[in-house]
Order: sequence, then structure tokens, then C-alpha cells
Amino acid sequence: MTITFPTPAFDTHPLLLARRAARRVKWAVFQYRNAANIRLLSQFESLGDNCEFASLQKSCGVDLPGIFKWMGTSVSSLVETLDNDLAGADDIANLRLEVHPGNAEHILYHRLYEANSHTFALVGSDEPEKILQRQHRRLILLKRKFLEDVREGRRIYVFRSLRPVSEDEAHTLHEALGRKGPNTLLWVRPASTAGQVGLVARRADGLLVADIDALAAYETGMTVASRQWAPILRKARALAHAHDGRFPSGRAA
Amino acid sequence: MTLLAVTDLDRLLDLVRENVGTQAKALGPFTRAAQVRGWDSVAMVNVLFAMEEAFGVEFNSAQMERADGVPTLLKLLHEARGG
Repeated sequence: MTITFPTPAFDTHPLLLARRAARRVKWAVFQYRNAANIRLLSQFESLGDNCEFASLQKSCGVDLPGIFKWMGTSVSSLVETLDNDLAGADDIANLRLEVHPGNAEHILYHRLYEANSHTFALVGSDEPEKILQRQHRRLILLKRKFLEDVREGRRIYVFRSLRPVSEDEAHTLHEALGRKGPNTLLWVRPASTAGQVGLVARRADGLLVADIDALAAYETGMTVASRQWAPILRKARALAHAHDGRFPSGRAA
Repeated sequence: MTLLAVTDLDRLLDLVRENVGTQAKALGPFTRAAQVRGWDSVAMVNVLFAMEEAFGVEFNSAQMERADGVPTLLKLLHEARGG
């Protein structure tokens, strides 16, 4: 005679449930400890150039949807697309999948911006056609979200660039954002002297300019190169708040 | 839970599985995105888009940002339907 014992279904196995509960507790502790940083980082959104700022946000548990956060944008392409209400940003004819030579990730090339962005889909994980369709659908939603956000001025937009960007260009981008709504741009540039590191200044038109000691290179865009980001963001938020009362430090906008 | 809510949950879990990938097999009504490997903001946007298509609703920006797992997605669906 064979005795069979009932085995719990896979998704109700006590070990699995315990593991899930432990993960939930770990996540709750992480969020509790990082509450102030989560609130701070949630008030900013990257306009691209590379993925450093989005990586910083993600490492602190802030992973809000954003159209440019994983994209290699430039000032001129951002100004042009803002003035055109992001026309063509979600046109599939502008999209092409390529393979990243380093890590076998599918990279999305956007003809309109002449820029690449991460898909986080590895080669072989799915059919390229399906990945492209998902990216296209994603852009439709993110475009709508971005236009709604800039109309309402819901974020302080962050633009950092290792490529030389003049102050005039930064003002042009700030003005382009301003034409859409009550937006603030934080332009983060490499400091020219050690004494300037961590300084944040507000220009007459509201543009915030910050000097940082190091920015992540384009090849290592998924890393954060400086410990100055948090103090810079706190100062930027305080300046923005002092100007018009938005972006309080107490809670997320 | 009403029959409608159960049907919504089943459809929603299917959409999450489709858009988050194989990592999301062990899903339930209380699963949060942070508990599932691969369910990041990129995958979440795909889930939200699929929900808009499947349920005929539209989410605004603030709602998209609140989406952090199955319970919130069900709540957002209810809100988007005017509930």
C-alpha cells in the first residue's frame, strides 16, 4: 500500500509564503529608512542625456514612469520636441531595435531624437517584434503622461550633460519647458572649481543651476558618480519651494 | 469579493503575466511590484497600457504614478471607471 501525503500547491507552499513575507518586510523597512529620500527624489524627473539620474532614483526605490529618463537626449532635441508637443515621439516608424554590444540588451533607437534608450529586454527573452510593440505602446502612454505633467508643472526636471552645454542652451530648454506650464529646470553641470561643488543657484528666469563634482560617463550611465546629488536636490527643492510654494519638503508633490 | 471583481482580478493577473514576463507566475491579489523581479516602471507602463485597452479606461498621470502592484491596479481600475 502506498501512502501519499497531500503536498501544498506551489503558490501556497509555506516556504514560498515565508520567503514572500520576508521580502515584504525587507521592502517595508527599506521604504521606512529611505522615506525622506523617496519623497525628495519623487519630486524630480530626468530629461535624459544618460541614465545616471534615473539610476539614482531607482537605487533609492523611486521608479516613476518617465519618457526620457532612460534616453540619451540632447538639449536641441528636447527643445524641438517640447515645442512640437512631442509629435512623432510615439510613432512606430521612428523606432528601431538594436542590440547593445556589451550586454546583449535590446536597445531602442529613436530616429526623432537620434538617441538610444534602454528596453531592459535581453536578446532571446522575447521576439524582437513583440519587444518593439511593447516599447511603442509604452511611448504612447508616456508621451500622454509627460504632456500632462508639463502642463501642470508637477516635477522639477533634471538635465545633466557631460557634453558641453552653454548657459544659453540651458535657458533655452528652461524656456521651452516654461512655454508648456509652470516648470522648473535643474541643470546639473560639472563644477569648474572644487569650491563650487554642491552650489545651487537660481537664475532670474527661475532656472536652477547646480555644480557637481562628477557626472557618470556615457559608457557607465547606469552608475551614480557623485555623492553630491542628495544635497543638490535638497537645495534645488528648497529654492523652488521658496519661489512659488510648490514642492514642499514634507510630502511628495 | 463580487463576481465582477473576481473577473477583473483574473484578467488583470493575465495582463501582468503577459507584460512582466515569466518572473510573474506566482501572482496573487496582494502582490506588489517590488516583490516581483522585472516588474519595474517599464513593465508597469506596459501593464497600464494593456489595462486601458482591455478595460476601456484611461489613467491620468497621478494614477499612473500610484500604480505599485495588484491591489493598487484594481483600485485604479475602480477609480477610472468612475467608482
